[in-house]
Amino acid sequence: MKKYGVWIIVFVCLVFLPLLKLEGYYYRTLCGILLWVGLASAWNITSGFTGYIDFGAVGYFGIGNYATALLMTKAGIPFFAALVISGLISTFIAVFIGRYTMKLRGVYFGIATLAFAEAVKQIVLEFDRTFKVTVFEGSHGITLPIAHDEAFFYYTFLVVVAGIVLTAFMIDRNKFGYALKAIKEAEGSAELAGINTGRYKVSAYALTAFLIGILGGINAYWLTYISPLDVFSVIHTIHMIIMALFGGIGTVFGPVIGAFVLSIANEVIGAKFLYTYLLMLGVILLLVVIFLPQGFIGLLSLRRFKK
Amino acid sequence: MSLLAIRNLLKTFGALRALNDVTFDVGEGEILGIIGPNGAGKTTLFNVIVGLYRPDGGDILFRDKSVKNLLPHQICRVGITKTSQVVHPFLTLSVKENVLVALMFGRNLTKRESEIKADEILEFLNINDVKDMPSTAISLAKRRRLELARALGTGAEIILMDENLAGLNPRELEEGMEIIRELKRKGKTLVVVEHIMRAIMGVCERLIVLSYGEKIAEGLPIEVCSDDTVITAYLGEKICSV
Repeated sequence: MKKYGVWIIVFVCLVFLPLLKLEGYYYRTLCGILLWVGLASAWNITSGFTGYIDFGAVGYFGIGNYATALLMTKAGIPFFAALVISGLISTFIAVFIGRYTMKLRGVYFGIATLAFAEAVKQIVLEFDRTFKVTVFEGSHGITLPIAHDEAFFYYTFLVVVAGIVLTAFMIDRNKFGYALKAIKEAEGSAELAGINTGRYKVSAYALTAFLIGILGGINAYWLTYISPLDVFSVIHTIHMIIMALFGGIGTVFGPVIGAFVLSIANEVIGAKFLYTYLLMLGVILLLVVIFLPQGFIGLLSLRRFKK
Repeated sequence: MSLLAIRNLLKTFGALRALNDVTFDVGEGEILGIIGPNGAGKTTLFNVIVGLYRPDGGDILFRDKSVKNLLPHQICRVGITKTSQVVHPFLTLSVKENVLVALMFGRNLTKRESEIKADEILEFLNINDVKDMPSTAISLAKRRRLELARALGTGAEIILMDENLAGLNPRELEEGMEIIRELKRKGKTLVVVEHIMRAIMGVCERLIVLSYGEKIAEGLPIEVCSDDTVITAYLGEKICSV
């Protein structure tokens, strides 16, 4: 437990942080960081633990955004109920998509999931114009009611993200997690050892979609305005991948560290060096991949087997 | 009654008949050896039995029930698993965790129950000393032993061993043979593919010879290896006399 004490302290500090009477800017930055910690950790459950690199995770983020927005504005469902339903819609779609895409391997899985996310974006973008209806509002996007202060979103993000990290933490040690790791290392051997690899892969994929869908729902209410090109942007998926890689893919706290560091970098360095920031980020990432293939966390823990 | 019955098994890869009308039985508690030249279809046979490949004809019966349409994990639960010739451990997991996975999923145990059983298996196979090492860091001999540990972990009644003794030094080989005999005493049924004739003659009670996907001989080891067809197809010289 001592090893994880630092994370409990971090969490407690975050709980009491609003007592400092922060300005709006800091709240928004913190919410942004939490959102990315959640997204990278949720992405890591499928891609980090099973090794199936998902390039379409943003699809479920967008689905969560739109589901919550539509449920709140068109059906008048309260926020938290809408959030849960959004997560479930996301899961439902993921079970269907996962059953087919999870049979593919390596880069083909990446291509298929990327195509899925792009397809959903196009559907949301063009549905209304094609069928002469007003459901998704096309490229106009949807505006949500403004009802809460920054602290409300901060705590919502904090609880959900802590829940996601805790989920990853538990999966890392339980039976479900062993199945995922066995699949990552040797899928054939996993089958021979009695693991129903198909079912476990789809379960992981659906769980990731559920968590990302919920984060998408909060995002919609937090930003109060969403449009397909924003919430379905492939750059979000790339961010999740980079953050997980940077921190340490397949570990519990790697994506947390990666998302934290890169979000801050984005905020601080990005503001100062508007044009060269992406270049610097690219160089840093290259160095990490070459010299720290286990990510940043590899530096801290110095591998689990070292004696 | 035979525990495992292979009936007219056919497997083709394009125009090649990797297995052609192969029929044999494996009795309960038996150690059956399968020999034959490279490319005879020995590994293909194993892969078809455990469900990694779909057969193109014939049937596989386990306790008189067909298992030919099951997936590998289902066949494992039914009671058949194999150790692979090219070892594929779960690399980032420790030796003990490798066995844990097999116990948890092959026998559907909880993690805690599996911990105890894993120690027993590692003890039995004499690789307890490396149980906390990553499976990348152990010698080939121990990796082969680990492959067997995983197979035992699943609790399968029949273990198909694909060249589990290849590449070992004489002492390791002797140990490996003793383990096979010990497994028989514990009631396991084993099908052993091996090129090392000393090991085959030392442990097997019955032999089958495959050549170009067909069964060309079957019988007691001593009979089979003095068979002229077998000598021409595989052995090359007479290694034993009746």
